[in-house]
Amino acid sequence: MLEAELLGLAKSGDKSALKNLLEANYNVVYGYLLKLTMNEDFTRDLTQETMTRAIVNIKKFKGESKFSTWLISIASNLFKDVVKKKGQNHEDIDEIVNLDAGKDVEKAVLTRERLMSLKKALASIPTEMRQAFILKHYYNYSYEEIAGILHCPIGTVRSRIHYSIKKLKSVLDGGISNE
Amino acid sequence: MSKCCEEYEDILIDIYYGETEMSTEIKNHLENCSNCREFLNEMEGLGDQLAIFDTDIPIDCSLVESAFTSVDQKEEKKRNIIDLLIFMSTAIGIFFVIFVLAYKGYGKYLLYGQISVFFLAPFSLIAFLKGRRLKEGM
Repeated sequence: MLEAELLGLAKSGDKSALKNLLEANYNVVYGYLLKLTMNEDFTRDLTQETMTRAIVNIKKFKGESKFSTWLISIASNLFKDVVKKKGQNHEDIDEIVNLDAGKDVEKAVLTRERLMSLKKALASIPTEMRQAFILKHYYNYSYEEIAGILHCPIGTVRSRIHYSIKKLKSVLDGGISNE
Repeated sequence: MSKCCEEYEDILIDIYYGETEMSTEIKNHLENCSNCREFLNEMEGLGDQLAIFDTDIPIDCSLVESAFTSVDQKEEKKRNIIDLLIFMSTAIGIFFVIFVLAYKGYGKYLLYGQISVFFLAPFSLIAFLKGRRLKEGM
């Protein structure tokens, strides 16, 4: 069934249609929050809360954007609220990617090291900038869409993404970041 | 690195993400500037490195299910609060009416009313059961 049809049913109170929609977009929301928080437990909590807010507010969804974009918008606002309330980012460097290097121990060690340095580099970018960067790099949203999701001007989105890339490059090159 | 190159870097990032097109001016600059060529190569390398986080995520249906349960619980809690408020306001209203009637000197009639309710209330059970049967479609 098409997303539009499922949305119509979900808005008229069909729980099963809404469940299908949420399950279809689960990996988008979970993946986005995981890259943002870098903590699996925190990601699970935020994903569940995002789904809860989507269920409660499904009738308010006007269909001006894709359903996944709406979910990402809810997740972004939720993340911002939680970070503001708790005053920290929960950026524990724990496992994000399941490494499957087989029997090649050397390769596994190298991959793990590379992964850790990438995680550290991503974590070094301030939250608001990282949100814009993740949305652009991994989800290929346009600057305009990101501006809509994060409620900020397009110019700000552009500068946040540029800053993130330069910071990432700087940290990965082992240089001193220019904050 | 000249300031000029820093400006080109920003444009190259936009080109990399498909936000703007590669103009002839940029092409010419890239041909003559090794720094910017290197920057573009590094951008592509960075993209390859960051692909490590782009893994398949198995769907956890229990999490979606928990979200629905959480919403149901919140709605039930809300309904219970509304029911409690209706009950309390009705009780206060009845108490207020009784108090006013007693104050105005209608205590005797209140007593008669109370006795009537006491004896007639069991008959309301018939209507209640009938209504319940209708609701259950029996």
